Amino acid sequence: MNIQFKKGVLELCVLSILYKKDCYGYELVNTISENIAIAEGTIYPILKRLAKDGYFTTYLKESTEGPPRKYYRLTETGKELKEQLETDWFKLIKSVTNIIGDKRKGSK
Amino acid sequence: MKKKEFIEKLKSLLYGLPANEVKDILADYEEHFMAGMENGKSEEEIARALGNIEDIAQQFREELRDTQPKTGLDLFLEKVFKLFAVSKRNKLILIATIIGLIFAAMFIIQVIFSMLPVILIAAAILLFIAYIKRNKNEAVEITESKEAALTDVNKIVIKTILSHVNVSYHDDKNDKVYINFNGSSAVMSKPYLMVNQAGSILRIQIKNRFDISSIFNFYRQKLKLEIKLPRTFQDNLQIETISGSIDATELKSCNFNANTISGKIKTEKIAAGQILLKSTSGKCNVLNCRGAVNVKTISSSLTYISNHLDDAICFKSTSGKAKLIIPENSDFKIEYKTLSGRFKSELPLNTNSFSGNKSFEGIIGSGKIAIEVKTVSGGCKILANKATGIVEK
Repeated sequence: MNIQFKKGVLELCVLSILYKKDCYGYELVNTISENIAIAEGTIYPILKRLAKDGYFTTYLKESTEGPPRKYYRLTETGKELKEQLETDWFKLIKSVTNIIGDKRKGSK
Repeated sequence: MKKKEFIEKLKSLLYGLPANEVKDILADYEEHFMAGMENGKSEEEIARALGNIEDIAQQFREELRDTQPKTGLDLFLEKVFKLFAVSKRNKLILIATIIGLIFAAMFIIQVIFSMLPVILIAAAILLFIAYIKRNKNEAVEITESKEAALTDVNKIVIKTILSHVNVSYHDDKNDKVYINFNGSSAVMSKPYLMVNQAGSILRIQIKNRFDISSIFNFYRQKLKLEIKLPRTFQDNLQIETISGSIDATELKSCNFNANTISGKIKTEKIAAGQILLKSTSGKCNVLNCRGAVNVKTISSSLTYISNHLDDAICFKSTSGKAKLIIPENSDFKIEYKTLSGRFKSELPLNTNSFSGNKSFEGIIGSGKIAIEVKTVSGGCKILANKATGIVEK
């Protein structure tokens, strides 16, 4: 998959997961890698940049076992970005489906 | 690959990024490993799932690229550390180089130590000479006067080391320059006045007789070079000192040039085509002068006082401050470029990028006069000149 395209998709995934609830790094990475085949290590750089650009904040929370974990929480601008990326995504899917033709429709 | 190996390798590949960022990144991966192990995975499994470390490091570099400019040294060190991380052969070469350098350093130290007796003996001889001649180290009064006619002269160059220079006009109706050199000095290094004309350039210089023992001469010299020019002389003027101050009052010059290392420069009521001042650490004062002012310094400050701002000002310095005291109704455009200097203005400045202490452009009125201040850490202050013709001593 094209690297820029992949990055953009991963951004949307990260934002959508955090939109539902605050997560710590492993949890987030795991949720994504369960669905998309990806080198897990490459998600952290994306997290780093999104945090730097102010789309989410981080805080430490005690875990039941082991040391405290770093949790990520979406900010207001993060929520806005998520909405925007989501709209873009569905538009893209629609356009692409139009071009390549919906197989389900075609089979009818 | 084990957790420890993974973290170490990532760390070496992230070399050159800000230390706090690296620490943060490594902590994230440590946490990832811990969480994975709690979920019953082995270190090897987790490391494999994380993927290629070079790719990860490369991606961090891309994501953080805008935040940190890399210097040449950083790039070099990055390469060095890459060697450590990548190949055993390169590691060996590097270690061999370091050992070689250590041996070279030891050799140099050895040479210096073997020279030590020679250095000590030389110092002892110098001290002995100074001791013999110490009686001659007394002060002597100097009064020397010369005059020179300014025929076909279009440039006067004045050069001294530590004499204070004072230049102004006299009121006699002739075209002579009066030079007066006086003060007290140690006998041995007794300075003398030299005036000569070469082509259209008149040179006025104070020369010192060199004596080896003058190195040990701690007598503080107080020397003053007073130069009175005829009012008809309005050409190029160049004054150079090392530690002597420069004081020029009420002159007209097409090109006024003053240059010093640590002396103060004061120019008052000078009308010139261009006023160019250079100083390393001596303060510069420009009081009620006319003409474009250009000041270059390392650590010295500029105080510019004027009751009518008609000419451009350019101040470039490393750590010197610029203080401009100008009338409230001035029309100018200021460009202030700095790394860490602070800006303050009493006059109402129109600017759209003012942020307290960063580079910006500001404008007052029509912005007719250009003011340029460039510093690394020096601040810039603009104050309103309420009284007319005030003079700061």
